[in-house]
Amino acid sequence: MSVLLKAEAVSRRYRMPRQALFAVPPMLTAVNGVNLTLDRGQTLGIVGESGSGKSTLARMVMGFERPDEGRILFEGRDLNALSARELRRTRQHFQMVFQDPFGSLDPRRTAGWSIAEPLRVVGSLDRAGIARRVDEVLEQVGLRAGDAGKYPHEFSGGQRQRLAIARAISTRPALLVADEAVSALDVSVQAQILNLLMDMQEELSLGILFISHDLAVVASICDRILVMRHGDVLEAGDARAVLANPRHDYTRSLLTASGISA
Amino acid sequence: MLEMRDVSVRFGEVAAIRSASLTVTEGDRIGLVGESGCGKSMMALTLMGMVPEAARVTGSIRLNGKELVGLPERALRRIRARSIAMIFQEPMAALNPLRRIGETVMEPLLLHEGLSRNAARARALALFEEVGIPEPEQRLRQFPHEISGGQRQRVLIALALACNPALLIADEPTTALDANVALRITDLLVRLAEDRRMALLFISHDLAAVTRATRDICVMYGGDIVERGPTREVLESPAHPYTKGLLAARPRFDPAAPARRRLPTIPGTVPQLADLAPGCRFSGRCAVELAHCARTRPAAAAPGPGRSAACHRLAAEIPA
Repeated sequence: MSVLLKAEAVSRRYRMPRQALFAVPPMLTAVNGVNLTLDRGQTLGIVGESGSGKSTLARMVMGFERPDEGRILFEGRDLNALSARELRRTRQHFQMVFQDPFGSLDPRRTAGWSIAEPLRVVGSLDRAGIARRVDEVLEQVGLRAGDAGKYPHEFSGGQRQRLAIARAISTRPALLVADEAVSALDVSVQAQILNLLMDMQEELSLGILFISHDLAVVASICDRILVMRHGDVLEAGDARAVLANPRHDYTRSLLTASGISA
Repeated sequence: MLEMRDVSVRFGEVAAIRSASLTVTEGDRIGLVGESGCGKSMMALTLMGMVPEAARVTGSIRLNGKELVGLPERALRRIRARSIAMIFQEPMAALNPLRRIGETVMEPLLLHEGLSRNAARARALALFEEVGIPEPEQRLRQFPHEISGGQRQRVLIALALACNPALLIADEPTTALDANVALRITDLLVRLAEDRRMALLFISHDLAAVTRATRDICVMYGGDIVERGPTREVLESPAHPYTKGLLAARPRFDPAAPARRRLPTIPGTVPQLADLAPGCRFSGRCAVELAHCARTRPAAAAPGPGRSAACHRLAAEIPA
């Protein structure tokens, strides 16, 4: 299996507000020397609570933010060594799905327009080609081709998350970063979306970086996991091994909170 | 203490709650579960007398023998303040960002209990200690944005307890919180209910939290209470097809099962209220549906002692 994504000792620090006029502003280490490897077609879960650094890590993987130290390698190429143009071209190969699909879909644009957005950025398809691809991905995520003309408010929460997934896979990416992608969904809808992610993964041999605070969800979809707290990786390994036999008290407390163990 | 009998809430022709009955006695801890749009929050708002103006409430809600349905807003407000309190999902939205926390918490004490400012302040401090807020003196002077989400939820719980309610309705109290914080808030609510002999109605879609917090459970779907009984028994051996489907769809960790196995799903989506069948509201999505399910409303069958489930299939198998 080939390595899709690699993070080598990445750190990211933020400057906090200064306490006094001439004081040196305190620094917050959001991500502290994190290493990770994700193989093609595999799912890596990043688990932690708010403030653990998991979303910052996702933003660096997506190239939205530069690490202060370390490297992010996508298919062996350092993301931050790419020129702006090269980065834009590479972007079609990694896409992201967010927690709140309503917030990431423009309410004044049709679903089809939003789904086509990354395709327009890539610019390799003409108008008709884009329309065909939109219909194709809509059907792939279990919606109807005719839904392209509807507006986001005409869909249910679960359908909106399907739209977000349709948009993400429209450019046939190799990597999907899912940041709390099922956290806002009801249980029965969540199950449908998790199944959809697993189907898409098999069809496209997608590598998925699955960020979640819910260990039960992570247990059902991830091959490997990484438990983070305050920017540090507490433990990492095979998902079942870590969950069945957590080394760290913090992991155990997350297991209790998810209702996995009492 | 509280008896809700055949309560329906209608918007025009559409019933958001369909003749629901619920009895709450002192010290009860009842969970209300179901997915978005099933009517959980409408139940809470109905109990609080806070339904939207367009809604028509029928049936009877008695609080300590006193009928609440049809009471004018002013009379309701008095009863509500002293007997029923509610906390919400988003603690930030429920606190006035421009007021110091102390002012907010002291308000009901000044307004409903007629305490002096000094006495109200002392009570507020005592409440903060009761709900486990560290450095209560300092918290009173702070603004909501200066404290964490978990602390804010504790402030709201303190506020809800201010007038010693007999019933606390918690509507998704842990949903916006981190897992560990949610666990502590759940445990706090249970402790408070026990210490104060206060009834707790715990509304949540989080079955893990409901299991921890409650003794009894009501499962709602499409405005109906479809199944009820002791929490553990219902969750361990669900009887209603919707409860079964919901529990099966829940992601679980099973070290013996193969990785990345698909989750069982309930086909379709929760329908709009206006599109619900006149009979069983789960019809159309149900795996064991009978011919008459969509037309006639099922009566409650008893799958076990203290349990009930409204399902034609069950009623045919076990006599009520």
